[in-house]
Amino acid sequence: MRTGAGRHRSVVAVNLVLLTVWTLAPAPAGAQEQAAPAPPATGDGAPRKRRQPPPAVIPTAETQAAEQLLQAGKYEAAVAQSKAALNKNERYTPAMLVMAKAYYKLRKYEWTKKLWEMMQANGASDAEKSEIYQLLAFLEVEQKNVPGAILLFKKAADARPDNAVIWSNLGAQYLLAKNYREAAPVLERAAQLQPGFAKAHLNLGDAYRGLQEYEKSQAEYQRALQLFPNYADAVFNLGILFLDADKMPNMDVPARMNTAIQYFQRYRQMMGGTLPAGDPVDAYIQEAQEGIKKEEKRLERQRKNEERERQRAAKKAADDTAKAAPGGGAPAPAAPAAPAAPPR
Amino acid sequence: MRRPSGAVGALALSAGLLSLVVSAAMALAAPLAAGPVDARALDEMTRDVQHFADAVKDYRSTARMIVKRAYSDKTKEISAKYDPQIAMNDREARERRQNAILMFEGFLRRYPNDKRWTPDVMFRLAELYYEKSAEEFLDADEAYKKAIDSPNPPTTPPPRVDYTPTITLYKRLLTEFPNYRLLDAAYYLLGFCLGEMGQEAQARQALLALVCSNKFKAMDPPDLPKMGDKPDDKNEDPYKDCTPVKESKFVPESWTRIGEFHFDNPAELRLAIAAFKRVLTFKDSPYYDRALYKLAWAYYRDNRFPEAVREFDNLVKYADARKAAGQKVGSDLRPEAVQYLGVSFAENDWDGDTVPDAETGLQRVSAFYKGREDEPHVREVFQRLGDIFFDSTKYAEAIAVYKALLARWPAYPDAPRVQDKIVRSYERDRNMIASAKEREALGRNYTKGSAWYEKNKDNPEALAVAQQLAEDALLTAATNVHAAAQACKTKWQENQKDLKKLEECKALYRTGAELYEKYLAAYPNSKRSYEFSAFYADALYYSGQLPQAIAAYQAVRDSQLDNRYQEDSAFRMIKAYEEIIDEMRRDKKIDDPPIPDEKNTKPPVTPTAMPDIYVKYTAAIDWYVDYIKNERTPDLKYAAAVIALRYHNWPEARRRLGEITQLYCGPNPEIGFKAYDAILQTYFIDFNVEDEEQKDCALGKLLNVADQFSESPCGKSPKAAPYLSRIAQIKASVKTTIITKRLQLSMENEEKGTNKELTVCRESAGGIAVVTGISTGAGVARKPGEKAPSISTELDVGLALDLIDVVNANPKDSGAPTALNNACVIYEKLFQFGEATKCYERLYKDYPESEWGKEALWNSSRNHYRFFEFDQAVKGYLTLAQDPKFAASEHRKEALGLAASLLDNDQQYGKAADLYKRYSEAVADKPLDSAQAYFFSCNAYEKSKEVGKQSACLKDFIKKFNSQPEAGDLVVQAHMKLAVITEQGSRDKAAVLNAYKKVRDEFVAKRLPAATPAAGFAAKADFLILEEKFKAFQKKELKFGSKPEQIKKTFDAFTAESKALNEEYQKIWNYKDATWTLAAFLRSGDIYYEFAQKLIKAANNPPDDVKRLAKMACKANPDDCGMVETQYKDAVYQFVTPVEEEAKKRWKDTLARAVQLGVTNDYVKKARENLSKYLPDEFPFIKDERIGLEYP
Repeated sequence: MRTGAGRHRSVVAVNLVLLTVWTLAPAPAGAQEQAAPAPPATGDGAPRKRRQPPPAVIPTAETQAAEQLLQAGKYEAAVAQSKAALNKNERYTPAMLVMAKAYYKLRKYEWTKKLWEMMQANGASDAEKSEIYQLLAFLEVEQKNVPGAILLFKKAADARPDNAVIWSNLGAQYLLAKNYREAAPVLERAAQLQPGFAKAHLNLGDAYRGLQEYEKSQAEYQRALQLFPNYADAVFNLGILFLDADKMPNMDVPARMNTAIQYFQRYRQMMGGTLPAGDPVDAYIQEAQEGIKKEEKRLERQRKNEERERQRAAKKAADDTAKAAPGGGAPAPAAPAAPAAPPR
Repeated sequence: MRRPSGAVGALALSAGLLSLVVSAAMALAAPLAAGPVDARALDEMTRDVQHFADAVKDYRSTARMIVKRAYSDKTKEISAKYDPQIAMNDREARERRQNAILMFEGFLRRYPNDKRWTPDVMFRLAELYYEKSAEEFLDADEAYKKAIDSPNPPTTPPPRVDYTPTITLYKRLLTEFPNYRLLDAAYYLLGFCLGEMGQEAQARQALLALVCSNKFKAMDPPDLPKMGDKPDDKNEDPYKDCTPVKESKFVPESWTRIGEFHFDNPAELRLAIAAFKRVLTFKDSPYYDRALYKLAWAYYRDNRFPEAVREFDNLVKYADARKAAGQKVGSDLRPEAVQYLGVSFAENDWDGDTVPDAETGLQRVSAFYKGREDEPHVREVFQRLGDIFFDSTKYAEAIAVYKALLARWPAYPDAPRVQDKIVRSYERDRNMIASAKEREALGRNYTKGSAWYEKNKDNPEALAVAQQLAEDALLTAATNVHAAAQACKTKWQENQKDLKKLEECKALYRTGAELYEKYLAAYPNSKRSYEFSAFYADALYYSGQLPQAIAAYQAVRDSQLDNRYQEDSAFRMIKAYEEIIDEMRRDKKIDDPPIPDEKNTKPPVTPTAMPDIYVKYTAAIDWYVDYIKNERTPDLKYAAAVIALRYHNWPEARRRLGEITQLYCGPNPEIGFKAYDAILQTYFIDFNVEDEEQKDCALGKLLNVADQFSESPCGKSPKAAPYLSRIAQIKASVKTTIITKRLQLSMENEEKGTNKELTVCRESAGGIAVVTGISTGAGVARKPGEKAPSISTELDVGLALDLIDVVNANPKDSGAPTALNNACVIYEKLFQFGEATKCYERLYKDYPESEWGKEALWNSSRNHYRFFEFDQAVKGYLTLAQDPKFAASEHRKEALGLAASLLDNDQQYGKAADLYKRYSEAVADKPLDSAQAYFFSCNAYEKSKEVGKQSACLKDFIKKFNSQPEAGDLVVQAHMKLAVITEQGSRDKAAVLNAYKKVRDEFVAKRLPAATPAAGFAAKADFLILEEKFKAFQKKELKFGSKPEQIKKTFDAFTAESKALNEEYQKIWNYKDATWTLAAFLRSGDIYYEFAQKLIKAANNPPDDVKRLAKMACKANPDDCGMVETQYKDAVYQFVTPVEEEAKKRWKDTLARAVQLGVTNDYVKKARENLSKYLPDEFPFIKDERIGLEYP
C-alpha cells in the first residue's frame, strides 16, 4: 500500500487553444462563438516580462520564537510557531528545521522525515542538512541500527565537516560497533575541531583503549575530565581502562587494579543516587579486587612453584647422583599440560 | 525603355513645354535609375512639373490678355483719332449733298425745260436722290437693328429702301427729254432702282425699253414678249428681233438682269434662256460667263440636260481658255459649272419620263467627252460626277466613275484622292474586304517608286496628298478592320458558343494586325505610329497571337513618343501572359503548384524552379506596379506575390507581401489583410518544421509579423477587429503551447534529474523568447556574438504564474482546468503547499465538475497533509472517500487509506485503526493492499499499547488473510507478534513455544521466500525454539565409564548430539536473516564450548571405579596419590582441545560473517567476548565503555 503523498497526476496534455487554425482569414460566421474568447485588453498583445516570484518573506521573528520554544522544551508550541513562519514563507528551511527538531522531540518521527524531504527540495543549507542528518541518525540509533546511524552521521559530517559534535557522534557509532580503527581518526578530528568538547575526548579515549593504546586513552579521558570535572562516564572509562589494560606502564596488576577500583569508586560517588540499576560498576570493583587476589594467588603459586622447582631440582640432582648408582627405576609419566583457563 | 513616372505630370502641357518637362524629368530620373526609384521623390517631381505647367498656362493667358488689351487700346486710340474726322466728313458730305440737291432742285424750279442743262441737272439730281435714299435706308436699317436688340423691340416691319424720288425724276427725264444723251443710262438706272425696290416687272419693263426698244416702252405697263404658236418649241426665241434704244454698255448687263427676272419664274425659263443667249453675243462682256452659267442652269432647270451640260462645259472651257490666255481670272463660276456638270451627268432621268434612264451617268459623261479626254477639265468632271454619286450614297456608280477615271487617266495628279474615294465608297457600302483591298492599292500605287509617283514627281502638292492618303488608307484600313473586329467580338459575346463567329473575329483582328504592321513598317516616323502601335498590339492580342502581342504591348509601354496607351499596354501585356499561362495549363505544359498551406507544404521550404513564363509575367506585373498607380496595382502586386508563394520563394514572397502591407493597409485594408494572412501562412508552414530551433525561429518571425499587423493601419482599421481577435487567439495559443513545452520539460527534468532545455532560436529572437517576455523584437536577428537567452526549464513560480495567466485570460476554455491543475502541481513540486493548496481549492471551486476539479480536492487534501493541516487533510480525504459525488474518483479508496495513515502518523491510533480496517475492506480486490491495511490497523493498536485489541486484531487478520498467498508474509508476522504477546503475557512456556513454532510452521507451510521480513520472524522463532534444545543440551551432564570403549562410546554419542543440534542451528542460515544467522553462528560455537566444558567437568569428576582405583593406588603408594585421577583427566582432556578449537573456530566464523554482512549485534559481541577469553591477544576483551553522544 502506498502511503504518504500518494501518486502525482502532474503534467498532462494541455489542450487550451492549440495551434489548430492558422489562417488569418476571418472565421466564418458563427465560428466566433466557438473560438476562444479574445484575451483581455490589458495588453496581451505585447510580450509580458517574465513574471518573477514575489520576493520571499524571511520570517525571522517567527522562526526565532519557534527555536526558543524548542529550546525551552515547548515542542508543540514550537511546531505551531514554525507553521506560522512557514505560512509566511513555505520554503523557509530554518523554520522547517525547527519544526523537524520539535517533531523529533515529540517522537513524531514520520513528520521529521517528511520535513527533511521538504528541506531537501527547498535547498536546505549544508548546515541544515547536517542537523537533519543527525536527527535521522539518532532515529537509527534509537532503532539500534548502528550501520544506518553511521551512514547518516557520515552524511551529516560531509555536509558540515567543521562540526566536532557530528564527528564525535559518528565516532561514537564506530565505538558501538567496536570498530576502533575507524573510530580513532574520526574522533581525533572531532577533538581537534573542538578541543574543549569533552565528549569527543571521552570517545577518543575509548577508541584508543580499543586499539590498546592505553596511555593515549588515559590522556584523553583525563582531558575530558579536565574539561568537565564531574564527567562520571570519563571516570568510569578510566576505571575499565585500568581494569583491563594489562600493559599499563610502570604498574603491576595490583596497582592497576587498585587504580581501577579508585576510579570506579569515584564514579560511584559521582553518580550517587542516579546510578542506574544494573550498572556494572560494582561488578567491576569486585573484579578488580578479585584480580588483586588472583594476582596475589598467582604470585603465591608462582612462589610455590619456584620453591617446588627448586626442590625438584635438588631432588633431581640427588637422584642423578643416585642413578649414577646401579638399579634406577622407570621414568615417571609426564605431567599433562594445564588447560587454559576456561571461560566463565 | 521605361518612362519615369514623373513625365506623366507633363502630359497636359504643350509639345514644347512637354519636351522641356520631359527633359527635366529625364534629367531627374537619371540619378534615380542608378538606385531604387523613390516613389516620394517622383511624386514630388510630378507635383513640381504640374506646378510649372500651371504657371506657364497662367503666363500664356496673361500674355494673351495683355496683347488683347494693347490691341484694344490701340484701336480705341485710332478710333479716337479718326472717328471724329470721319464723322465730320460724313456730316460735311451730307450737308454738301443736301446743298447740291437744294441747288439742283432750285435750278429745276427755275429752269425746268432747258434743253441743254435741265436733263443733266435732272440726271445728277436723280443720282443725289439715290445716294440720299440709300443713306437714309442704311441709317434706318441700322437703327431698326439696334432697336431689335433692345429690351423693347419694335413691332413694325423693317424699313425698306425707297428710291421713289430717283425713279420719279428718271421717269420725268425720259419723258421730257427722250433724246437725252445718257438715255441708256437713265433706262438702266430706272430699271435698277425699281428692281431694288422689288418692282421686278417694272424694272424688267424699263430694262427691256433699253435693250428691246423696238418692242417695249419704259413707261408702259410691264409686259412679257409674245410667244409663237408652238408652245412645245423649246428653241423659240421671242427676243431675237430686239433692237436696243442705242448702242450701250448697259445692254449685256440689262439682258442678264432681264434673264434673271425670268429665271426666277419657272414659267419663264425659255424667256430667261432667250435673254441669256442675248448676252452671249457680247463675248467680251463681264456678264458673259455669268450669262453662260445662267443659261446652262436654266437649261438644267428646264430639264434640258444635254443643253445644260453643253453650256456648263462651255463655261468651263471659257474659264480655262481665259486662264490659259494668261488672264488672272477665268471665271469664278467655273467650280459651280463643274459641279453642275457632275450633277447633270448624275441625273438619271434626262428624258423626263420619271423613270430612270438606261444610260448611266458614266455612259453619258463618257459619251459627252468622247474624243475630248485630253481636255484638262474632263477628268475633273469625271471626278465630280463620282463625287456626286458618292455624296448621294450611290457608291457603286461612284466607284464605277472613279475607276473609269483612274483607268483613263492613271497619272492624274488627284488620282490618290480618287482612289481614296473608291476606298471610302466601298467602306460606306460596308464592303470592308474590297475597301481594304483598295486601300492597299492606295497605299501601294501612289507611294515612292510607283508609276504615278514618277509622273507626278514634280508636283509636290500631289505627292504630299498622295502620301497622306496612302498613309491614311493603310491606317484607315487597319482601324476599320480593327473596328469591324471589335464589332464582331461584341456580337460574338452575345453568344460565346459560336466558335465560328469567334474565328471570324480572330481573322479580322489578324488582318487588322497585318495592316497595322505594314503601316508601322512603312511609316515608322508617322505622327500616329505610337497610337497605331497600341492598336497593332491590341489586334495581335485579340487575334490570339499572344507572344507577338506581348512584344507589341511592351514596345508601346516602353515607348517615349507618348504614354496615352502606356497603362493599357502594360496591363494587356499582363493579361496576355495570363492567357498564355492558361493555355499552357490546359496543354499540361505547366502545372501550377498549389498556394502553399500547412497541409500541402512541409518545411523546410526551399524555392522551386519557376517556369520562364512566370518570370516574365512577374516582370510585367512589376513594371506595371512600379509605374502605374491605380486601383489594379494592389491586386497585381498581390498576384505577383502569390506566384512567388506558389514556387516557395519565401523571401521574395514575403518581401512582396510586406510591401503590400506597407502600401495598402491604410487605403485598402482588405488587400493588406490578405497579404498579412499570406505572410503568416508562410511562417505557419515554417513553424511545422521538425527541427525545434527552426520551429522557434519561425514562431518568432510569425509573432513579429503578427505584431506588425497589430501596429499597422490594417490593424487600426475597424475591419481589423476579427483579425486582431484571431491574432490574439494565435498568440494565446502559442503562449499556451510554449508554456506547455516548458512545463513538460520542467517536469521531465524534475522527475528524471535531467537538464533538458527548450530549444530556442539562436539567429534571432524566437517565439519562445518573445512569448515568455525575455526578449522583445520577435524575429530580429541577433548581433554577432550575442547569445540566445536561456529559458528556464526548471519548475518555478514563474511557470505556474504563466499558467494561471492563461487560465485568467480564458477562464471558460475547456483546457483551463488542465492549465490550472498544472500550475497547482508546480506549486506542489516546489513545496509551496500553501499556494498549491489555494490553487487546488480554486480548481475545485471553479471547476467542480471537471476531471481536474475533482482531482483538486484530492490534491488539496494531499497538500493539507503535507503541510501538517491534518484535520483539513483528513476532512478532504474523507469527503473523497464518502461523498457520493466522488463515487467514481479513482482516489476514493486511496483517500480512505491516506486518512488512516495520516491519523496513524499523527498518533491518533484508535481512529487510524478503524480507518485502516475500512480501507482494507475497500480494497478487498487487492489482497496485498487489503492485508497490509488490516495489518496496519493491528499495528496501530500495538502503538497505542492496546494489547487486547492488538491480539484480537491479529487473530482476525490471520483468519481473514491466512488463505491469501499475497498476505503470507504478514500472516507470519502476525503470528510472530502473537508469539511475542504470548511470551510477554504468559508464563506458560509451552504456550510460548507453541506460539513461536506456529510462526515457523506458518512460514514453512506458506513456502515463503528467504531473506524477507517473514523469514526473519521465522528465523527468530526457530532460534527461540532451538534455544530450548540448547538449554537442555547445556544442562545435560557427560559421564564417562571407566573403560576406554565406554568413554569413546559416550563421547561419540555426545558428539553426535552436539552435531545434530549444531546442524539445526545451521538451518537458520537458510532464512537468510543476518541477525539470526549470526545468532546461529554464535550458538554453533557455543555448542562446542559447552561440549568442551562438559568434557572438562567429566575429567574432573571421574567415575566411581576410577576413584576407587585411585584411592587404592594412593594407599598403596602415597607417591601415587592423584596419579590415577591425573591419568584419567589427561585421557579425557585429549578430547577437550579439539572441541574447544572447534568452538573458537565457530566464534571466529561468527565475527567473519558479521563483517561479511556488515552487521553487529549482541550475538557478535558475545562471540567476540568468548574469543577474548581464549585468545585475549587476538581478541582482547573490551568492556563496554561509556560513549558520549551529543543528542540534538
